[in-house]
Amino acid sequence: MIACDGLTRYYGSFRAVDALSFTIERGAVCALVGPNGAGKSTTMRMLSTLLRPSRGHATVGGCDVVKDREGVRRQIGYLPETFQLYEDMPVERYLHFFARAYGLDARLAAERIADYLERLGLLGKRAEKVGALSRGMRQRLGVAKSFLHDPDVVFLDEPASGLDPVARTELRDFLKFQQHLGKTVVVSSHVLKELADFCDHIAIMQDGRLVEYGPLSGEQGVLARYGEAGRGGKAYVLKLLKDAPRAELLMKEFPGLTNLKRLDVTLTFELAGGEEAGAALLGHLVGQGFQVTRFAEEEVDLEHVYRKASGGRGEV
Amino acid sequence: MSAAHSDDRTLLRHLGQPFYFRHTPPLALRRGAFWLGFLVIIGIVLINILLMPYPRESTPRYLRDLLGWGRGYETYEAGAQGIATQLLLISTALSSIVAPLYATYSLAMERVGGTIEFLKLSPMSTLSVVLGKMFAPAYLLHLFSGGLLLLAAAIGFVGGYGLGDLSLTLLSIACATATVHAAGAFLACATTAFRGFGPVVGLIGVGVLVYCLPFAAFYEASVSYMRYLSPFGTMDAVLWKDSASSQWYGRVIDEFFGLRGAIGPSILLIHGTLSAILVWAAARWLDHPEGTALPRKGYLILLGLVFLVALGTVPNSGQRVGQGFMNQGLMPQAAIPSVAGASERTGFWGPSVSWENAMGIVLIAGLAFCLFMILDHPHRRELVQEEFSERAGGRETGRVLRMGHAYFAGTLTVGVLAAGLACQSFTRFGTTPEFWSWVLTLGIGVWAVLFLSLVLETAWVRYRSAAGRAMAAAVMVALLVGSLLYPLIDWAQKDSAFWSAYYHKTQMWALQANITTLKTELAALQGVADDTLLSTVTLPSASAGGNTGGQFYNLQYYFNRYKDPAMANATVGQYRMEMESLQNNFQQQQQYYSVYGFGWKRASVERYLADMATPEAHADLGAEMRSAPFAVILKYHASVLLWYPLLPLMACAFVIWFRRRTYRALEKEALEALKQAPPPLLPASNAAASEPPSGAMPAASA
Repeated sequence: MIACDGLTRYYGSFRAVDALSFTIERGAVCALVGPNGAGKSTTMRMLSTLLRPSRGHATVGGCDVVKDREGVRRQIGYLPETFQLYEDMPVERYLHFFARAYGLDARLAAERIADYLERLGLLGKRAEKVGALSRGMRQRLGVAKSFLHDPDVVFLDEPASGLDPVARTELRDFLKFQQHLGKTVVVSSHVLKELADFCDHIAIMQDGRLVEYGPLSGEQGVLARYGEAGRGGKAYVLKLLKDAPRAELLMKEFPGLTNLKRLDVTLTFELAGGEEAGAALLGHLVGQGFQVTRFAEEEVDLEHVYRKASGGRGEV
Repeated sequence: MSAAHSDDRTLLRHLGQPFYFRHTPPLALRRGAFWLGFLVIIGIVLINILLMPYPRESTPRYLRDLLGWGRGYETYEAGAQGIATQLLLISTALSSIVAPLYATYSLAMERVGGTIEFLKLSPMSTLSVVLGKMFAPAYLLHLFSGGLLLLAAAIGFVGGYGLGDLSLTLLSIACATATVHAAGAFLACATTAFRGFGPVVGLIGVGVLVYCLPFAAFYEASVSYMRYLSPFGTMDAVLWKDSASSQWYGRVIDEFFGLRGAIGPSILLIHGTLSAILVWAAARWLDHPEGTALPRKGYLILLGLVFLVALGTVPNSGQRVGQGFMNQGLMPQAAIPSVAGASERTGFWGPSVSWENAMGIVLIAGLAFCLFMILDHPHRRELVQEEFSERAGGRETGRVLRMGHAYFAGTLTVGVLAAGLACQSFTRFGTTPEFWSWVLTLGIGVWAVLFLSLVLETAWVRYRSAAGRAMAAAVMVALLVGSLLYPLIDWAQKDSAFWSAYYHKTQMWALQANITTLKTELAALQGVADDTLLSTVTLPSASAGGNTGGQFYNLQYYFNRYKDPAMANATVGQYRMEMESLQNNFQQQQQYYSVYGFGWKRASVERYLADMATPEAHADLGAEMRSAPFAVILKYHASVLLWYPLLPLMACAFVIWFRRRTYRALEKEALEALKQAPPPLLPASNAAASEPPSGAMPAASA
C-alpha cells in the first residue's frame, strides 16, 4: 500500500530524511517512532504530498507522491501534529465542508458525520463553534476529518497529544475500529505503550534513518527478537537491600553476564544460558550473603525495543 | 476507496466547491450590508428620477427647486444614461475593488492560519483551490454587483446606449475584475506579511496603478489604448463621449492584427493572459513554495504576449483610414471587420503606436520580465547546497539549476533585444553611427542583464545575512557599472575635448578673419581720396531695377560718409577701436587657453588643436568627426580599443571567478556535511533479522 525507495529530504545541507526504504502492506497499522527531529513528520508530509522529496520515490496506493498527487490525495487522510481549524464554523458544518471538498455524496456524508461524531464523543458539541472547543476536542475533530472521506491510508502525526486518558482510550478504540475496516494506518506517537495496543508493525527512526522496522509480534517479531536481546541473552532486573556496588563487582565476573548497569540498589543485565543461568546467579548471590528483594526477567515492550534499537541515544 | 467520490475532474466542478463558506462576514453584517446597498441604489435612482426634465409646474420640479438641485437633465434619455453610468460605477467598484480585496485577505488568512493545508490535501487540484478562493469568498458581492450591472445595462439601453457599447463595457468590467482577482491571489500566495494584510496592501498598490492608467493615457496619446485596462477608462471612452479625454482624442479605436473595436482583442489578450499566468503562478507557489512562480515556459508565454501586443498594435499608425500601414499591401483590408458605429464616428484608426513605441514595449517589458524572472528565482544558499548534496548522492539529473537559470535569463534577453532589432529594422536608420549605436545599446543591455543575474545569484547564495547579500550585490554591481561607465565617461570626455578644441579654433579663426577684414578696410579707408571714392560709386536710378530703396539709401549713406573726410576719419577711428578690441579678445582667448583653458581635457585638446592649424584642416577634421567619430577618436587615442572592452571583461571575469569560488565553497561544504553524517544505525545482523514476514524490506541506509 505504501512503498518508499530511497526517500530523502534535505533542508539545505541538513538531511532530514535519509534514504528511507520500506513497504507497508494494506491493512497494516504501523507505529512510526523516534525522538524529536528524527524525521517522522517530514516522512509523513512527503507521503501525504505536502512536501516534495529531494530524492527517491514513494507511492501510496500505487500513485506516485510527486507525479500523481491528486491520486494520492484521494486515498489518504492526514492529521498533522499541529493544525489549524476554521474557528468560526460549527463542528458539524466543518465536517460537511470537507465532506463536500472531498466530493462526498450529501446523504452519505451526513450519515458518516453523525457516526463519527458519536464514536469520537463529539455529538454533544456538534453545534458549537470550532473555536470554542478544547484542545482535546479539536484533536478529535481533526481525527474525524481525517477519516471522513473513507480513505484507504491514514497518516496520524501525534494524534494522542493533548488528550486526557479517557480520550486516549476512545481514540485507541476508534483506531482499532478503523483497523478492523482494513485501513492502513501510519501513526506516530510518543506514548509507546499505547501504540503497542493496536499497532502490528513498528518503524523506528533516528537521525532521518530507519533503524528498525518489522512486525511487532510473532516469532520473527521485533518484540520477540528484542526480548532475547539478540546479543546477550535474557534481560533481568535485580534489586538488593544493600551492598549493591560490591554485588556489581562480583557479578562482572559471572560467566555469560553482559550489559551490567547499576542505578542505586537496582541492577539490570543480560544473561545468557536461560533460566538455569538465572537460578545459578541468584543462588550465588544469596550464598555470598546478599539480601535480594527482587529478581525478575525484564519486561519487553516498545520502549525497551526503542531504546535498544537506537542504542539508547534517542529519548522518546 | 468510497464509491461516493466523484471522478469528475473538470474545472467547473472544482469551481463549485464550497469555499464560499469561508471567511464570510457574520450573517447579520451580510444582511445589513445588503439592505444598505439596496437602499443606496434605490436612493440614487430616485434622485436621478427627480432630476428628469419634468414640466415647469410639476411637483417633482417644485421639489427639485426646493432642494436647490439646479436644472437637471435635458432629456429623459440623458437621465437614463446618467443612472446607468452611476450604477455601472458602483458595480465596478464592488466587483473589481472591494471583492478582490476581500478574496485576497481570505486566501492570505488561510495561509497565515495554516488551514490551507487541509484544502491542499483534498483531491482538488491546487489550481481549483486558488480559483475557488478567488471568487467564492465574496460571491454574494459578485451576485449583487452582477444584478446591478444588468440593471444598469437595461436602463442604459433605454437611455440610448448602443448594445455594442454596453456589451463592451460589461466585458471590460469582467476582464478587469478577473485580472485584479488574479493579482490578489498571486500576492496572497506570494506573501503573508503583516498577518495577511501585506497582500491586501500590495493589491491596493496594483489597483491604484491599474485604475490610474486612464490618467496616464489622457496625457500621452501614444499609450491611450491602455485606458482599456481599467474599466473606468473604458467607460470614459465608450459611454462618456462628452468627457474631457474623449473630447481631446475623439473616439479611440483599438486595433490588433487587423481586428478593431472600442475594446480591441489586444486588451482582451492582455487581461486573459495576465489572469491565467497569475493564477498559474499562485497555484505553483502554493504547491511548491521553494520553487519559482513560473516555469520557463511561463516566462516565454509572457514574452510572447509582449511581442503580440507590440506587433499587433503597430499598425495603429494614427493615420486616417485608407492611408495607413494596413493599406500599403502588407495586410488585406478585407480582413478588417467593421465595428458598428465605431469607425463611422471617428474616421481615425485610433491611438498612434509607432514602430518606435512598439519597440519600446518589447524592450522595456522584455527586460522587466527578465528582471522579474531573476528575482523570482529562489536564490537561497540552502537550495544550492541541497542540489549539491543530491548530486553527491548520485541524482541522475544532477545539474545545478541556478547556473542554468542565470544563463537562461541572458539568453532570453538576447532574444528580446534581437526581436527589438527586428522591429527597428522596419524603420530606416538615418546614418551608420545610428545603426552602430543601436547595436551597442543591444549589446550593453544583454551584458547588463546577464551579469546582473549572475551577481544577484552569487550574492544571495554566498552570504546568509541580508546585509552581507546587499553589500556583496552592491559592490559587484558598482564594479560592473563602473567598468561600463569608465568607457562611457572616457568616450564622452574625448568627444567633448574634440568639440572644445573645434569650437575654440572656430572662434579663433572667426576673430582672425574679422581682424583681417578690418585691417583691409582700414587700409582702404586710409588711402582713399574723396574724388576717387566718388568716382567708384554709381547711383543707379530707381527705375533701372535691381536696387531697392533700402539699397539706395545705404549707398547714399556711404557716399556721404566717405565724401566727407571728417566722417571718413571718424570711421577709420571706429574701425581701429574695433580692431583693437578684437585683437585684445584674441589675446585674452589665447591667454585663457594657455593658462586655464580646458582643464583636465587639455592634453586631449592639444592633440586635436595641433591638426587644426589651418582653417581648411579645421573644417576637414570637423566634417570627419561628424561622419565617423569613433575613427577620429581612435586615430588620436588608440588605447580606447584596449580599455573599452577590457574593463567590462575584467569585471565580468571577476564576477565569474567570485561565482565559481562561491559555488565550489558551497559544494565543499555540502560534501563535508555528508561526510560528517553518522554511519548507518541499523546493524547488518539486525537488518537481516528484522525482515518482515510480509515481504516488506527494512531500511537500507545509504
